Amino acid sequence: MTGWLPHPVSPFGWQGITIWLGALATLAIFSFLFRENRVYRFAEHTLLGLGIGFGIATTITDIIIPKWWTPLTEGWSGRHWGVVTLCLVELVLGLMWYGLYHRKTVWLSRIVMGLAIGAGAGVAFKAEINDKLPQIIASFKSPYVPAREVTMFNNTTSNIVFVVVMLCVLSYFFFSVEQKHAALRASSRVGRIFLMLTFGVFFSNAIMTRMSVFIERVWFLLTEWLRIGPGG
Amino acid sequence: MRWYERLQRIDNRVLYVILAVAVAVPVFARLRLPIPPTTETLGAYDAVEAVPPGRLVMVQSTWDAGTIGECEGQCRAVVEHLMRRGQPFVIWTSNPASPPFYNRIIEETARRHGRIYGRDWVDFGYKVPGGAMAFGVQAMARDFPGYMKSDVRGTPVSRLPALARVRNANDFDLIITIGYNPIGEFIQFVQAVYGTKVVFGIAAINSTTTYSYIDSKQIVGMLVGARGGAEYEVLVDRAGRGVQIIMAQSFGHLLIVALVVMANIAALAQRRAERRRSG
Repeated sequence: MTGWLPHPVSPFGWQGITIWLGALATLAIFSFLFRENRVYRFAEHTLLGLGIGFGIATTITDIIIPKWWTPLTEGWSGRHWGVVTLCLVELVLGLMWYGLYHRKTVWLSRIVMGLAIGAGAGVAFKAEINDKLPQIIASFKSPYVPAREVTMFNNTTSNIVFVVVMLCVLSYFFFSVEQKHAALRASSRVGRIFLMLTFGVFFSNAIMTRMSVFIERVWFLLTEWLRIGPGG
Repeated sequence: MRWYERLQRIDNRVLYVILAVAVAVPVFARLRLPIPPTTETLGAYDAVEAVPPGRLVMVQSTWDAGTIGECEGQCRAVVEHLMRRGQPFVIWTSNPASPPFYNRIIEETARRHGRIYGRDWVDFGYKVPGGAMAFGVQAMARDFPGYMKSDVRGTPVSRLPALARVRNANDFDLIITIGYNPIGEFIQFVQAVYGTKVVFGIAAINSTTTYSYIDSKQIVGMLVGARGGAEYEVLVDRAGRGVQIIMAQSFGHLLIVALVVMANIAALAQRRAERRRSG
């Protein structure tokens, strides 16, 4: 019977402290549902501070030290001047970003910004081709699929629906001419309905995700903190 | 105030409490609803089954405290499947907050199956910042040992038995990413270039636009939120967090549907009453 009554985990010992902190932080964040309050704001700022601090610390220990400091020091002691030069160039380029904070040195940041934008655009170009081209090719579907080739995603009904929806939605976004023709107007209107259906799916998936997060916290409070339930 | 007005002005806080009670029902009543696997989850399961014994799998995990509800079940089921089959895998992250979460699962599962670190799995920890994924994934795919250098324990890649013959992305048969967002870089720079199969484990909120990747065969499977995790847990016959959440979620969804129907009935009744009043 005790399993069905709240008997919170002891706040002593590492596990107990962790669970109690987690429970209090969860309740502090949930208190926003009642109204904006100081406890919520304290929890929010603590979370932000912890997140940023943790992010900075791990960037130093897991990225800057192994990817820059260690090669630099090892290169220096091993007299690998190529590696040392590369590390120093990286340092100079990295420091140039901070030119942004003074109007006399802002031109330095523009150089690295240009380099970053150029490299980013090049990578994005390659990424978009590799990402979208197979999807465009896959959108050329046959409206008839022989019985022996039928799969979940490739069958006559699905392909016809796919082609109709795609053409209707494309016609909705066709702004090159005024949509005066009856056929274009009709397909555009149907396309809008399909878009609304898609937004409905987006919204329901958003609810599903938010719900999972909420459920996990409710279950944590009930089963791990208050230890309610058959296993409690 | 009439009933239809009262129904449309229920305090939000009352609804939150009712929702909390609804999702807590499965804690008290051990209910089991059927969870049939969807095609996308089966695709993920079959992809792991198709990896030849001894071949490497890469798991990339970005979930953390904020997405336990969606991704923990997925991670637990995938790790269970890999370890049960004795499939060696490497795991790394682009989110520094993720390692404590996935390590807890891996260590618990490894103990149960008697798996050994270095031979059955290798953890590289936080290797690529989220903002540099495009460059990091390309470098890793081209020269895995050269980019990773050493694992979280400081052991060089060359001394890890699981990675003895690894050179580039061709040496991985499957890549599984688990996190809130789909990591498109694995499609753009690994699947498209090396042909390595990719499976996404993502939050349901991001799944709507990701289905097209299954259709174009750029990914072979997908785990959609807690539902995907629950389905995979059923497939590996080890019900856990995913199944628990999906049970509670069913009650939450029923409540939301009931509230939407009630609100619409009230709105229609109000409209009819106003029409009657005006003439």
